[in-house]
Amino acid sequence: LTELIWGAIGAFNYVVLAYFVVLNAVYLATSFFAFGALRRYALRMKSLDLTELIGSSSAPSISLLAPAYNEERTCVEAVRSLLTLEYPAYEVILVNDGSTDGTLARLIGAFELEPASRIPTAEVATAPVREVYHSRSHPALWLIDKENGGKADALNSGLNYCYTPIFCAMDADSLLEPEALIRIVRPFLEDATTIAAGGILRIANGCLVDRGPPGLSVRPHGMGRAEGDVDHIRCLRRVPPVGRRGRRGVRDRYRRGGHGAGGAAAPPLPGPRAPVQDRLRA
Amino acid sequence: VEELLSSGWLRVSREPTLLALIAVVLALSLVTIAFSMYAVLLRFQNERRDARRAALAERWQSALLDAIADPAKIPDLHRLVDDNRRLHFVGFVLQFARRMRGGESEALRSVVRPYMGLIAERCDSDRVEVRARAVQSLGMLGLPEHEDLVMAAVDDPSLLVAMVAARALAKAGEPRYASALLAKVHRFKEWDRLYLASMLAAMGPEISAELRSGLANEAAEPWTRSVMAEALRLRTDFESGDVAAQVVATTDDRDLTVDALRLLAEVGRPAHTAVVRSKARSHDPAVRAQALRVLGRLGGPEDLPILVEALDDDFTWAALYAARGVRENGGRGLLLRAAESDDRRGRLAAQALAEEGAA
Repeated sequence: LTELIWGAIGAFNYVVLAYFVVLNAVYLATSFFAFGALRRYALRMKSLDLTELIGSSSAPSISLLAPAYNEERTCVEAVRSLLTLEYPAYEVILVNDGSTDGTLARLIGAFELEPASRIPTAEVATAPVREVYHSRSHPALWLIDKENGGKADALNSGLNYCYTPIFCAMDADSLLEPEALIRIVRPFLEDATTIAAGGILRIANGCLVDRGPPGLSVRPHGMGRAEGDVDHIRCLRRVPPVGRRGRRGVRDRYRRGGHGAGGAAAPPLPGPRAPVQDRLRA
Repeated sequence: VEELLSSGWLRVSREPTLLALIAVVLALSLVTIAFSMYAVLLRFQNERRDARRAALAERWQSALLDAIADPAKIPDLHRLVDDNRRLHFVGFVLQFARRMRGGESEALRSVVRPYMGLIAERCDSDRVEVRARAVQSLGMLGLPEHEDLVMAAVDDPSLLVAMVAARALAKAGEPRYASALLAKVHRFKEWDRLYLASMLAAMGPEISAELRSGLANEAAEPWTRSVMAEALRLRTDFESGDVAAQVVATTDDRDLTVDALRLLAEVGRPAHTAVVRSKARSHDPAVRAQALRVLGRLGGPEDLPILVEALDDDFTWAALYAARGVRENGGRGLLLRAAESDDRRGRLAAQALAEEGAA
């Protein structure tokens, strides 16, 4: 029996060793491929002037869908940063997912939100919507106040009220670089069949935002945070790509179905990312 | 390895599988270390290069501004450019070219003229990105001298190079480039239609006549005609209303019909509503929605019944355009009454009225 146990342990050791050898070989190969691809990407970006690419008349309008749940402390600053992005045509749709703290009151006060009419253009089933608000001081800002249903449900609710051909799914406490929309919309212009694109993720958990947009800069506190960040990135790597040219990341843009502004109802958003992000934020 | 294994201080199995695994781990580790060192070296190299370029840019900038103000100083600037820095110098000037127009732009062309031959040679490179960059430089700084190369690049096998060339020609705004570009729009089917339309629209009013004839050409592909319709809409070309109405009446292509209706909504006249009315009951929701939009904008009280009926359309966009149309065609009182209820029609009416207030 002892021999059998030692044999099993030995076999297990082989399996573990082989697993890590294969895993690291894959990481190494990925790095090699990325090296060449990044070089080509940098050269390609040189020959395409982004600001020229997004002339005001050719820029597709985008809705930023930002679900918020108990984000009283950060939501106002995050929304302010979203309202200062460099892009000719976008609107921000916040979804208050049944917050139990003062998120709704803070947003209403900070942005002069008042009840407004906005007919949903899609009918994805979600938890009931209590009220739709529109900002008097920022015409591009809308708030959907709904009962709690989780992040995926909140995104679907925001999608129902989206009037633009492209929408961007993100967190209400996320910060976007000023040029983020200009950069992320490029794949949609270069390939009309693109249905989804993702951005690069940087972790700001426990960081101090030094100079808010423009020129976003964050400083991490200690190694403990760094370990958490590595876990965060690993979790995101396991998220399956979305759509024909889907890429991974926290902020993903999707093209709505249908024809331009008269788009037909889009399918519900995939939800597996939501618990991952919620767990990591906690 | 044999000596190590038999020496006693390293107690590992002699099993070939384990030895193979150890060898693989060692090889991977070596490659990883080499790769990491290379990455670090590259980082240092890039930082040094950036610092060198920043110093050069500082040296060139004041001389360049002097040369723009006084062309007699161009030779002084050229003396600051070493032979091995000529390509970099053109890239440096390109940054200014994006922001300058008219006489200043012409001065920049004079500054880089001696180096454009070098750039032209790079149009034959095997690397797509190099060709794209060369075409971009020639398009911004080398027209019309190198227009043959830029026009030929529209046929480049790489779509990136072709698009960079097309943008350069469109930006130049010369009427003679318009025909060449319009004839090759079909090459860019992969690109977003609105983006292409915006590129064509930016060529100026000279292109409008060609766009109209392209839209009217029934032998052309519907996709190409759609791009023309969008470009005319972006140009708000009021002379294209008749062509758009003709297209709506004759085409069977869904996308082209939608784009022609969208164009009509912007530039049409009340006389065009006759061909649009039948489309307001189309089974295709996008066609129906756009037709209702046109009726709302161009129609009169006689179109009110169609618009009121469409308030109950299952497709929200059709219902919303209908509500806006009712508001614009003398049905405000009807909307006010409907807005008192909390059903879908009431909320549509409330939104249409609220939008009027916002406008």
